[in-house]
This record gives sequence, C-alpha cells and structure tokens, in this order.
Amino acid sequence: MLQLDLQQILSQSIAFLLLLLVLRRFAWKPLLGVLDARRQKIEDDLRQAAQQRAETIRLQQELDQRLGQIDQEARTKIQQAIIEGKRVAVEVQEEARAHARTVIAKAKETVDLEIAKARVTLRDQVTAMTLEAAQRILQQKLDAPADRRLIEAALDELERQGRR
Amino acid sequence: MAVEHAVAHGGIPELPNVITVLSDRWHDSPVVAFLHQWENLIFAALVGLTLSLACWRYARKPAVVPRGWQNLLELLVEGIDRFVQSLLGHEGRRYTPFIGTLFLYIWLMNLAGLVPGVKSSTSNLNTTVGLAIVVFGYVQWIGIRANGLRGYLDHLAGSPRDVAGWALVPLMLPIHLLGELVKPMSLSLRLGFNVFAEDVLLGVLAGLGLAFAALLHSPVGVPLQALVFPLVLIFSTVQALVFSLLSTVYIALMLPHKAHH
Repeated sequence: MLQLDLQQILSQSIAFLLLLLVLRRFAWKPLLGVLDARRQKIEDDLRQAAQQRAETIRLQQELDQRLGQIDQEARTKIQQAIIEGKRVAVEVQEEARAHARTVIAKAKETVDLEIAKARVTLRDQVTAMTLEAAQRILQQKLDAPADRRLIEAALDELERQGRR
Repeated sequence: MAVEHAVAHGGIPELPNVITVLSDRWHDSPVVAFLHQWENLIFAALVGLTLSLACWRYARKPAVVPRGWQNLLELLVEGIDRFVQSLLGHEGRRYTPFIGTLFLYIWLMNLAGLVPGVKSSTSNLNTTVGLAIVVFGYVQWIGIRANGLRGYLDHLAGSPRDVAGWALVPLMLPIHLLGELVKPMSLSLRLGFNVFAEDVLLGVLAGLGLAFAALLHSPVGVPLQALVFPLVLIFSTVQALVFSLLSTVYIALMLPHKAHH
C-alpha cells in the first residue's frame, strides 16, 4: 500500500491516458454530440411549435376578421337586395296599375262601341217593327222613303227625350 | 482465507483476489510473482477495458432515441457534463471528457473491490499517485495554455503589480509551487487511504464471518462484509466525486477568471 514504485505510478498514468483517448473517441465525443443534437432539436422543435402557434393565432384572428367582413358584406348586400326588391315591387305595381288602366280604358271603349252598335241595331229593328206595325195598322200603301224619314225623325225626337 | 491472507501480507486484513490466491498457492512461480507485482495495474486495466468495451458497444454510434444501456451512459455523461459546466461555465465542456473519464475510472475501480476475486486498484497509492500526477500535469498544461507561459509564471509568482508584490515574490513563488505540488499529494492520499480503509473493513468483517463460521462449525462463512456493502457503495461514489470535484476546482483556479462564468 505505502510502497511507491515509479514504474507502477507511470504505468497507471499511461493506462489512464490510454483510457481517456479511447473514451474520448468512443464515448464522450459521440454521446456529447448526440446530446447536443437532441437538445438543439428539442429547442428547434419548441421554437417551431411556438412560431406555429403564433401563426395559428394570427390566422385565427385573420379568419375572424375576414368572417366579420364577410358578415358585414352579406348584411349590406341583403339590405341592398331588400331595397332593390322594394323598388322592383313598386315598379311592378306601377306597371300593373298602368296596364290595368289601359285595359279598363280599352274595355270601356269597347263597351261604348258595342252600346252604340246596339243602339243603331235597336233603332233599325224598332224602325222596321214600327213600319211593319204602321203598315199593318193603316192597311194602306205609303210612300216608303218619306215615311221612313218621318219615323226616324220621330224616333230621334224620342231618343232626345229619353236622354233628358 | 482472509485471515490467512492477512497474516501472509503483513497483518493487514484484505479480501483475497484471484492473483493473491494464485500467489498463495504458487508463490515460487515467476509468472505469478509478476502478476502479483502488477496486480493493481492488471485490475485497473481490467476496469478500463470493461469501460472501453461498454462504451465502444453502446456509445460508439448512439441512436437519437436512446435504448437500453445507452440510456445509462447518456445519464452519466449528461450528469458529469452538467457537473463540470456548473463549476467551469460553458467553456467547461472541453474538460468534461477528462473529468468524466477520471470519475468513471475511479468509481469503477473503487466498486471493483465488491466483486469477488477482484481488487480495488485505488486502494494502492501507486494507482492514486499515477492519477494525481496526470491531473497535476493536465492542470499545469491548462494553466500555460490559458494564460500563456508569462501569465502562468505571473500566477505562480502571486501576480505582483507593485513594489510590495515584487518584494514578496521570493515568498509567494515557493508557496504557490508548494501548493501546486500538495494538490496531487492530497488527492492521491485521500483517495488511496479511504479506499484502502474500505478494503480493510471488508477484510476484517470477512475474517469475523469466518471466525463465526469456525465457532459454529459451519462449512460456509457468515458474509458479515455484506452488511457494509451499501456504505462501501456510497463511499466509493463519494471518493470518486471528491477526486473529480477537486480536479475540476484545480482547473477552475488555473483558468482566467472570465472563463468561470
């Protein structure tokens, strides 16, 4: 234990130095390298995760903002559509009214015309019936054109009286 | 056998190892005498070889995702690296292999005494002095490399900056030189005697166990030394740590102060 031997001391020193060389080559260098690489990878991954999280938050905010804009645009368009719809409805109503007025006017004209036609026809028929009746009553030959003028005058007089 | 072995080796009880058993049996054989003379180096080399093979097998091409024994090696390497960097700062990384190898080598040599038939080489001063000389040389080399030869000599002279400082150089230089020389001496003596004491304790308890066995007429000895195995485990680790810690502190003291942070 206490006997010092220079040969043994130097041998122990050399043995340790050899071990140091071997371990430096096969243990320390690769293991410290892999530990550093792993630490670096974890740091990079964490940094990347933080960046992705920040990016996600930014995108979320952007999306929310965009959705808000879209909502606002949709609301504006709906309002415009409502206004446009009301305007079109008013136009359609106006067109319908104008058309109805036109149709009514035309119908009235037609009715007036038909009434006038009917009056003429009625007067002709009444004239013919009167003549027939007068011929039968008087049992005599009359001057047909002169009589006819006389009767028409009488009828005109009657018609004027009827209007009053 | 331990008692007989102790009687045969100057009365100091030590557990026998493979080589001492061979020596007791064939003490006239020159080969056995050679082995016995170099037993500390042989057991140290055995530990070194085991450590080298383990590292070559499990750490040569480490996987990014560690498995099995690589986990243990990484745990040790990372722990030692943090330990060294906590004392020397980030610059301490370059000294991690030296301190780490020193720790693992001493630790395993200390623990080797628990393996039947194997001796703790660190219980012999030749081993511890050999290691301390390496530490001494490494620390001085670091001092010269980090400070330059002039800075190193300035450090040894006590960094004189005025007349009083220069006047004290004849006193400071021998004190610093003595201090540097005492460091390896204290390292080697502390480690050597502590591990030697552990081995003696194991030998004494083994001898007591044999005495009990003889008293009880038992063919098998009572393994009383097993009672102090936990203590030996702790002491072995602590002694390896102390040696490594002090070596790191010596390096730190030799480095320029800015490198400590």
